Amino acid sequence: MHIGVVGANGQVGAELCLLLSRQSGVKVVPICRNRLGSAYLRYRGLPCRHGPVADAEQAAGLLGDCQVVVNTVSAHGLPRQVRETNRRIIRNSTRCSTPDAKIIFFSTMSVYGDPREGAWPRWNSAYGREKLACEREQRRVARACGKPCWNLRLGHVCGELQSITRLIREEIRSGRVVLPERDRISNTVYTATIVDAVLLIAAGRVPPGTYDLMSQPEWTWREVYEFEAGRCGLPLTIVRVPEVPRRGRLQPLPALLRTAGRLARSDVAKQLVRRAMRWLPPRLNGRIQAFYYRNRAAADIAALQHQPFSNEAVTWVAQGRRFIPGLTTTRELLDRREFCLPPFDPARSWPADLPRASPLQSLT
Amino acid sequence: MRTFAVGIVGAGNVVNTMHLPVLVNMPRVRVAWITDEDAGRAEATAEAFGIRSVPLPEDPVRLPPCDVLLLAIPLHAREPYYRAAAAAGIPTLAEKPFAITAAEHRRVLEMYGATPVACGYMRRWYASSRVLRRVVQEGWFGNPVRIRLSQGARVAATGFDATFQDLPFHRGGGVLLAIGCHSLDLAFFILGAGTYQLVRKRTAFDGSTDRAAEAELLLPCPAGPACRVHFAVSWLEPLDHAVEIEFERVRLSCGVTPESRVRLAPLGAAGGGVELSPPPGAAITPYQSFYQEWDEFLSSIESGKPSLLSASTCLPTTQVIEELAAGEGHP
Repeated sequence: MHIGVVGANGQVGAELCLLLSRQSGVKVVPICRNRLGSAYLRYRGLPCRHGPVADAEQAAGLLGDCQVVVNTVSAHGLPRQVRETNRRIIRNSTRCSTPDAKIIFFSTMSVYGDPREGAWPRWNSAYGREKLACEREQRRVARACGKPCWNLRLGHVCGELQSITRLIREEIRSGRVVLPERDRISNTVYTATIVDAVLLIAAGRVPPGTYDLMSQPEWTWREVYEFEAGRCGLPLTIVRVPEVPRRGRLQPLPALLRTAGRLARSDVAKQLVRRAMRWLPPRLNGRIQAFYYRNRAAADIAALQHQPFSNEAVTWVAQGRRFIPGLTTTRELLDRREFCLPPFDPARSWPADLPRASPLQSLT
Repeated sequence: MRTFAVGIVGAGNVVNTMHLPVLVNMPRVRVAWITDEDAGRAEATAEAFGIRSVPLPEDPVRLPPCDVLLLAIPLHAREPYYRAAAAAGIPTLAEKPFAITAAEHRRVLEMYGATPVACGYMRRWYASSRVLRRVVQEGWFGNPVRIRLSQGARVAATGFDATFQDLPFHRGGGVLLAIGCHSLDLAFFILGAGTYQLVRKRTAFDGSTDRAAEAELLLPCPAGPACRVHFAVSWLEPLDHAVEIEFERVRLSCGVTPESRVRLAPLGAAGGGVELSPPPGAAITPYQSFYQEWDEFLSSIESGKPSLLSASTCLPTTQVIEELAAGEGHP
């Protein structure tokens, strides 16, 4: 079975390709726009295909023999360019794969909006909005092509090549991990579980639809840090700190007063106040000055006592709601050899590129 | 203060995101025109910044007049523009790196003669670079014993068009010319060195394109024995993004970004130490460094004094890179 990974140069895409290459019965087809992007995979011995899937003329040659297509792309550039590129990739990866192909689109839990506790309304970021729009486009195109599709909303992706894992390990090495008092669900997903999900879908064991993809069962942040400390062979020292309570629902009057306070701290406002103070009674001058110094002192003292979390995500609410049935527990996967990165063998570096898909296999 | 009319060849990423935003903010600069082999790209840039775009003539001699030329095109395409600008006596600021080979570098320097030609190694302007150079040149902690420079990451998103970076080394592609040149130039800049001795090297080639390199060099110091320089750059694996200088009893270190502060610690201490504040007026953002680069170059043209960015000062960098790439990638 050919599994095409569009955006194989990305963090998630690259690790996905390396792990898929270790699965029996799977021929992974990493697809990158250019050779710079694929250099790491080819250095690790994985042959790749090169070309822009966004280009309909080239997409058939890139995906025409893929029975499963995993779209991990998140286009870069100006917002308009991003929108157009993402849509072209979704259309071409659906249309130009084999007639019976299964289409998997990697979305994100960012579609749920502001993840902070008590945030209301849960404003969606531009990234979350774009991914949500891509999910809709994917469903529409898949329906038009008569192909099943799965939109997977990934949590924070952890794995040997993932930046969040690197940051967590750096924190552990520093000897001091700061976590909130309340141990929260981490919303993380290890690449091993992502591979497991892709294989289950490829085997036809998951109904098409939209799912949240998190580790199975969901891990708390303590569990993530304990696992990573074990992997590093280092002791784990956790410092628990209280979270700063977040404001609740948006309330107009307090919000207005806060805005007024921010304006009052601007340089223009300060100058206006100083000018006005020339005409005010001495007692009021004294009170205004005291107010100013008190607030400055409070801000400086708060800065001394504040122990920021190096990873803001440790205070976020649990995001997952609808999970893929039948996934193996993440811990079990992580202990299996085929879900660990293959060892580096310099003799296998820089293989020849994968040939293009044969025209007879492709169907637009 | 004189106003300079600046002509720009190349409407790529660095011009759009760095040079133009700075140039349009400089009262002593008027952006006269911009051109690119992709006329659409030049027009889009011109429209975005409210400047004039012109079609790229086949013969660079036919470029419209300007007081200063910014050359921001791939290395393999530059020579005709160098020749035309040098012949017309137009001071030129070329994006880094300056040339692929030392022979080419010298040839271009000879073309320009007394006409100012500079290379935009803007990291020289970073506050951290300035601090390190001053500490070394003024001997605050004696002679440096060892310098370590490393920068690298497994390339993921390639973002804007990275096609030229896949070119073979001898056509201007690869990691050495893309980012390795910055670190090497910094070593020469900090030490004020003009020569070197290559002790060992290891370069990983993807066909004829270098993707990672590591080297040990000896560079002369302002006073005292030569300093050992360890250099590493990679597009294949994550490396520390670090500049570290060891003296007999202390270590200075910083990151590779402009806002990075220099940290001073006892030698052998893991972590700790104190951070040195940047000197007032020193560049701590990319825009500040590009601004100071332009300001210094234009001032040097006005005064007739050599610029700190003069292309002759980065000839050793070109030489080292050429040696590191010698072998599979480059005859």
